[in-house]
This record gives sequence, C-alpha cells and structure tokens, in this order.
Amino acid sequence: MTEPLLRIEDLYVRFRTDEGTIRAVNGVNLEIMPGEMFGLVGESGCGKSVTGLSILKLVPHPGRITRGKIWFRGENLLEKPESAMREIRGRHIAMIFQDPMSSLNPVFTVGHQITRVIRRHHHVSRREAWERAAGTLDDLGIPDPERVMRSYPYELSGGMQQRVMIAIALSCGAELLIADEPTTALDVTIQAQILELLNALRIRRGVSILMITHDLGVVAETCDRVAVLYAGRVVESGPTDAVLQAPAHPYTQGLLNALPRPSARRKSLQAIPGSVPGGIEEIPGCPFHPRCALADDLCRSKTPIMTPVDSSGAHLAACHLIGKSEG
Amino acid sequence: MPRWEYLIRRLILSVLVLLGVTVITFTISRVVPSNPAALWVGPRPTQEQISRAREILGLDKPLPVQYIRYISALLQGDFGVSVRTHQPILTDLRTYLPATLELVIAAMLIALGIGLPLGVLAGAYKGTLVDAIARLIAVACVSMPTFWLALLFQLIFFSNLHWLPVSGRLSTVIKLTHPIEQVTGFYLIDSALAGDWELFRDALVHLILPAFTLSTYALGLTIRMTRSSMVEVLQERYITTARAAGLPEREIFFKFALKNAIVPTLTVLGLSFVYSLTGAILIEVIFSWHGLGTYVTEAVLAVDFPVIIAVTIIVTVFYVFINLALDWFQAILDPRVTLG
Amino acid sequence: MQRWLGDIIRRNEARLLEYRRMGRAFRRDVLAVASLIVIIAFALGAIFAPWLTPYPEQGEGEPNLSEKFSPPSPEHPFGTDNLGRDVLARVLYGGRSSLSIGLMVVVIAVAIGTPLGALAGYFGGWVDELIMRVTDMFLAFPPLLLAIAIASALGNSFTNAMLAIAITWWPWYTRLVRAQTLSLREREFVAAARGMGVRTPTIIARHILPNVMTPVLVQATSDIGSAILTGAAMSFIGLGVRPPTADWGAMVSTGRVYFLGQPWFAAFPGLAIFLVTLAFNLLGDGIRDVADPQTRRSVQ
Repeated sequence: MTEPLLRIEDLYVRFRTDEGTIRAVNGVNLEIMPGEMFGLVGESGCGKSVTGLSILKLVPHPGRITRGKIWFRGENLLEKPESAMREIRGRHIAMIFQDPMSSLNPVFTVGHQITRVIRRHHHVSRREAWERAAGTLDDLGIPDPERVMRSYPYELSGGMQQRVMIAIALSCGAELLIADEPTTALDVTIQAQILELLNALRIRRGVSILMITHDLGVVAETCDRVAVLYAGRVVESGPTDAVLQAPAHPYTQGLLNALPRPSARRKSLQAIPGSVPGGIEEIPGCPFHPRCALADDLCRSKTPIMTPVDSSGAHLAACHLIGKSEG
Repeated sequence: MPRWEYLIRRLILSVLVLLGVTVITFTISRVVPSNPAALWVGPRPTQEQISRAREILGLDKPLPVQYIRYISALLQGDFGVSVRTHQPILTDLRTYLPATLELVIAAMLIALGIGLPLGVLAGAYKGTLVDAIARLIAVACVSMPTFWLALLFQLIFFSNLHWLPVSGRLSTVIKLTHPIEQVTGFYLIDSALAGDWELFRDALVHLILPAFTLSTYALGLTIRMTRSSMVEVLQERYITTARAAGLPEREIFFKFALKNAIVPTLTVLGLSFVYSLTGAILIEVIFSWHGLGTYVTEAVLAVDFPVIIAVTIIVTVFYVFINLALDWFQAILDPRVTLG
Repeated sequence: MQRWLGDIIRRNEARLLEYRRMGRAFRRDVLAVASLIVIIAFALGAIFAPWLTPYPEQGEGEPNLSEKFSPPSPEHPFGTDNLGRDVLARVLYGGRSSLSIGLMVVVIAVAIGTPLGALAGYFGGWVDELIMRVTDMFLAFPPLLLAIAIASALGNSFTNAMLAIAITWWPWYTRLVRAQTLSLREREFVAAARGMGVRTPTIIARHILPNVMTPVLVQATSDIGSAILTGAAMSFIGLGVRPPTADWGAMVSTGRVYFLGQPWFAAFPGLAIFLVTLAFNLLGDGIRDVADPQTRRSVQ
C-alpha cells in the first residue's frame, strides 16, 4: 500500500475573539494519496477553509493551531520553523482561492507575479523565469501567453484569472494543490473548464489536489474520495461513489437532499433545518444533534466516533445510528 | 477611459476650483472688510491715499466689474504692491518662495523617509510593541505645537549640545566669504552647482533643525496613514496568495503590500506639503528663515493685506496643482484608477 | 403606523444597547480614559483658576515687576514671566481662551457643516452639486493661511480669530455628513417615513441627523485638539486674544525671546498645548475604536 502524500491527524484550530473562543476545527483526520483528487465538503463556516490554510500554517490572526499533526513527505509540518515552511509553500504545496480577482495583486502584471514565484524557488535568470512562466501558461491552454503576462489582473476575465492562479500555483512543480472553492465565483461554463483543467493536471502531472467546496456536484464530478465536514469535524468519509450513493450520516443525507437533481424522481428540495453552529458554545454529544430529526438521548450526550459503514472498511461515518440500523 | 482624457478632466476641474478660490479671496479682500481701501493702503492711511486706493481697486464700480479686473490682474501675475516694502509682491515672492520650498521639501523627505518604514512595520506587526511605539510617535507628532518644539530643539541642540546653529540659512562668516550665486534660490542646489562644498555643508546644518521641526505633523500623518492602509491591504486575499507562494515577509510588506498601500500615504503627504507651506510660517519666524512665513507674519503685524492675500493665493495654487500631480501619480501606480 | 413606531422603538433600543457596549469597551481603553481625565483636569483648572492660584490678579494680567524671571520655586512652581507674573496662574487662566477656542470652533463648524451635508446628501441633484463645489473651494485653502486672511480682514480679536478658524473647518463636516446621509437615505426606515408622508424637515431632523451624530462626534473630539493647536498658532503670530489676557500660544510667543535663558516661561504653556491636544487626539482615537464597527472583525 502506498504512503499517503499528506496525513492530517487530530487537528484543532481555535480563534480567540472578544466574544469568545471559536472552535473552528475540532479534531480533523484525513489522508491524501499521491495523484488523488480529494474532496473536503461542507457548508460555509464548517472549518474547511481553515483546514486548508492550516496545512500551509497560514491560519489568519487570531486563529491558532492548538493540537494535531500534519504529515507531509514524512515530516510533521507543525513542528517546522517558519523559514522551512516558506520553502515548502509554493514549492511543494500550493493553494488557490475562491475569488481569483482578489487573489491576484492588482498593481503588478501577471508576468511579474508568476516569475517572482518561480525565481523564489528556483535559481534562474529573469529571462528563464519568464520563458518558464510562458511555458506553464501555454501548458494550461492559455492562448497568447505573452500578452496575458503583460496584462494586469483586472484586464483578464474571471476564468483567465483563475488559470493564472493555477499557473502560479503549479509553476514550481508543487506535489499538492489546495483548491479552496476554485470555481464558486465563476460562470457555469467556465467552472466546467477549470475543473477539467484541474483533472487534466492531476492525470498529466500526478499532482494531488485537495478540493475544498460546498458543492457536492463538483465533488461528484471530480473527486476520488471525499470527507464531509461539520462543525469542524469529519462526520463522513470514503470513496466518492459510496458516500454519495449511500450516505450514512444524516447530515450528508441532508446535503444531498438539498441538491437539485434533474434525473432523480421529482422530490422537492429540502433544506436542512437550522444553521451551522457559530462554534463558540461547545455542543455536547453529536455536533449535529440540534438539527437532526433522528437524534435521541445518546446523540445528545455522547460524541460518536468514525465507524465503518460497510464491509469494505473504506466508507466511515460518525453517527450513533449506524450500528443500530444494522443491529 | 484613456489616461489622458482622465487627466484633462482633472485639469479642467482644477481650473474651476481655482476660479472659485479667487471668488473667495476677492470676497475676503473687497467685500468682507468695512473699508477695503484702508486695508489696501495699510495702517494710518491718509484721506488722499484712501481715495487713490478706491480708484485703483475700482471700488466705485459694480462688484462683477471689480471681480473681472481682479482676475485679469492676477492672471498677469499682478498681486499688487506690498504696503510695507513698497515692492511689487511678485518680486518679493521670487526671493521668499524658494527659501520656503527648500525647507518644506526637506521636511517632506524626512517625513517620508522615517514615516513610511515606521508605518509599514506598525501595520505589519499590528498589536505588537513596534506598533504601539509607532502609534504613540504618530499621535505625539500630530499633537505637537511645532513652534514650541522648535524652541525645545534650539535649547537642546544649540544651547546645550552645541551641535547645530540656532537660526538663519547660513552662518554670517560663510555668507561673507562665500558669495552665493542664486540660480534656483535653493541654497543646497545652488552651492552644489557651484561646487562650493563648504557652503553646501553650512546650508545643510542650518536646514536640519527647521526641517525636522516642520516635518513632525507630516511625519505623524504619514505613519498613521501608512499603518492603517497597510492593515487594510494585509487582510487582502492576494497577500495570502503571496504567503502561500512562500515569498519572504519583508518582500510582502515592503513591495507587494506597500505598492497597494502607498497611494493614500502619498495623498496625505501631498496635503501635508501644502499645510507645511503654512506651517512653515511659525517655524520660519523662530529660525529666522527668510521665506514666505516671515513675509506673511510681518505682513500680519503691519496689516499688509495685499501680501496676505497674495501668499494665500500662491499656496492655494500649489495645493490645486499638487493634487493634480497626485492624481497623475496615482494613475501611474495603480492601473485601475483611470477606469472610474 | 404601528409597525413604523415599533421600528423606531426597536432602533432606539438597539442604539441604547450599542451605547452601553461602547461604554464598556471605552472603559477598557486605558489611554482614552487617561486622556479624558487630563481634559477634565485642564477644564476644571481653567474654570476654577481664581481659587486654585494665590495670584489670581496676575493670572488676569496684572504685572509684578519686582519678581521678573524668577525660576521655578515653591512659591512659583512654573516660575514667573517677563512681567513677573506667576506662570502657573497664567497657564490656568490661559486654558480659558485655548479650551474655549477649541470647543467653539468645533461647535460652529459642526453647526454649519452638518445641516449642509444633510441637505446635500438628502436632496442630491443640483443642491448637492452646489454645496459640494463650494465645499471643494474652501477645502482648497490651507486652513491656517485662510484663517489668517479672514482674521485680518475682519479685524484682530478673539471672536474673529475663532470665526476665522471655524470658517476653514466646516467643509470637513459637510463631507462627512453627506456621505453618511447618502447611505441612510436608502435605508428602509427613511423610505417608510417618506412613504407615510412625513415632511422632509422632520425626516432630516428625526431620522437622518440622530444617525449621523456618532461619526460627527468622533470626528469632533479629535478636531478640538487640532483647533486648539490652530488657535495657539494664530495667537503665536499675534492674531486672537489681546494682552494682557492670558493665552498659551501668546505666552509661548512672548517667551520665545527669552527661551534660551529662561525656558520655563515658554515651556509650560507649550507643554499645556501639547498635553491637551494629545489628550483630545487620543480620546478621539479611543471613541473611534469603540464606535467603528469595522474594527470588530468577524471570523469566517
């Protein structure tokens, strides 16, 4: 069995604010294999973006990683000093964000921004960096790379901006790409193109991708495996097909019911009642029980652990009802 | 919108503002005073002088006619005659304006040179000791009565330490032994052009105290503005992008963030430049720096009204054109500006 | 109608709660509280000056030539000036003109600027254009110089100096209030009041002005400091209060001639200007911090 490229163990992130401490991430565990597209899905505020930023140790102030280990290529990133992290960022692990327009520096040309990152991690001349950048853009199917590189970000379309972001992220040959809602801000047709591009990159370059999204449709189209995050915890994980076709956790079921599916029998869309907890109050028992129709006393008092759902052992969920319905 | 079209629109707006400014100065000099002719002549006027002034000022004509005559005189650079020196004001301005500009430009360079890095560091390390110190310096600077600070500086650096001269633009001995050839009126530049380094050194040491005193207000504003726009810019997504690419913090602060944050700082510095032209009034008096400030103060004491108005107009023209220059500069720095 | 009334009550309650929260946050700000104490101390010193000094007649301006230029001593903690007057007494009395010029300038500027800004923002169109272009012109003048010119034109007196500074100051409030009004105008409760046929002056007085007062007060607090500084600069040049009335700027101006020999005589009034201005600036910053909702950043 191959070693995972990235393994997150028992990750906790806290934000100390005037109103109280926000428990953004509460013991997340996940593994990403080389060349795998891994989906991290949940509603906004569930801690998925913070999890992504934690891998690069870029959790914004006043957030802090309070516990856990993040193994990458055999080393625990959380024990690495800031200087070592700067060598890893961009070179081995890269990240792209939801809104490409605000992710690119508005007052520098695209070419400047790409070549700067290349020259940060490789000792090449300005000229070589420029050619390499143009090559990367060309490789991503961008027509007329030279013109794009001489442009300022605001002169490009949203889809083009996101391609540029991907080019910056991959120009130094990163093994892991963290994509935080990479298509949410884009038009539907452009969305499909970007997803296709990411998928092609994974196959051609063997890049692992952590796809952070609220959109189960994106997960279904692209991801090999998926983890569902709720209130800073993984509540269900497994191969995408297994999780989406036989969701074991009531929350995952709720998410799926909220998804418009043209093929399925015409059942009206159902939103999950209630909203994502703010993360300040500690919820006893299962974090989902206040919104769960099936919750009982056990759910209100004891936090469920991840248990296998089927015989394969790859599909896990954290719900007290799993054992019951079978036994 | 193309860049030149944007700039032309700004230029037209500036001309309109200047027109409005002349309306206000006209009102202050001809309409507000109970007896404008007496103000024009100066203290203790004779009846004959007043009636001649009424004629010169055309006070017997209707206001619109008076205004048009006022404007056409201004356009020809005719600011009238100083009551005190009996010189055309324009001639006086030629000697006093460069002296003040030299002082003000030096002060702005000091404010920028100290304030910008301090503001960047304060914004970058928000909430730390560096930030607290920088904020305290900033608020002390904007609260400082400069005329008082000037006295303190003289007491410390001249009386106690004997490091720097107390006042003037040059030492008396140097002035006698090194005749200065006035080309620009800036002593530092003129002496450098002449290759007279002893003169240059003397001019420089005389400039230090007044320039540092004058820089305080601009320094405070620069620190504050740079800090707050850095704090704002550092929350932007593209800063996270730069961090996620592994760029060093120093480069993120002083290059990637600063180029975005610098525009408000420059705007504030442009405004401070004009305010310093007036702030120099007090400093020049204390340091016997013969510039616009001493000129205006003497005018105030002698009720030399034409001079007061002339200096007000000159400084306002500076203000309008500096704003124009800032717009232009901003358009160069930030490619998005001309869109709006 | 009832819904509308309920809306007003709810908003007032929300505002009250907001003020309570601001009060709590303010009390945690050590610098701001200290500044408030300094300001109150100076104000009390100015008001009760006659009872605080053994030399009230010198504070009023009476010379005492036998004690010229005494350095600080137990009898004269700040020393005496060129006319033998107790500098402490003069500083206490001088606070009267300096503090009142600061306060009055801001009051006049707010009184002119706020209604103009509300009109410009509420009506828009040519009213807005007219008011804002006039504002631009006044903003084009360097404040100190315009004040000097106006004070010279009106004649040299304390009131005229005050008016002159206020005339250079109001445009800032017009801008501030206009911007606030523009966003308020589109809010539901204003639209509702308009829809119910409430008269325009009432809408402006009841709905617009109370809601713009917080930013105006924040701005005004810092501005009192700057106005005191400007007033001191004017009297340093010789515009403003006439001798023998005590004034901090005038005291520094007279004292500077003797500064290298008898520094106490200009040092203490200068220090007073600095401390009061600093206190108002810090207080303004403190109020801004608690009043500005942007500083309370939410976490995703």
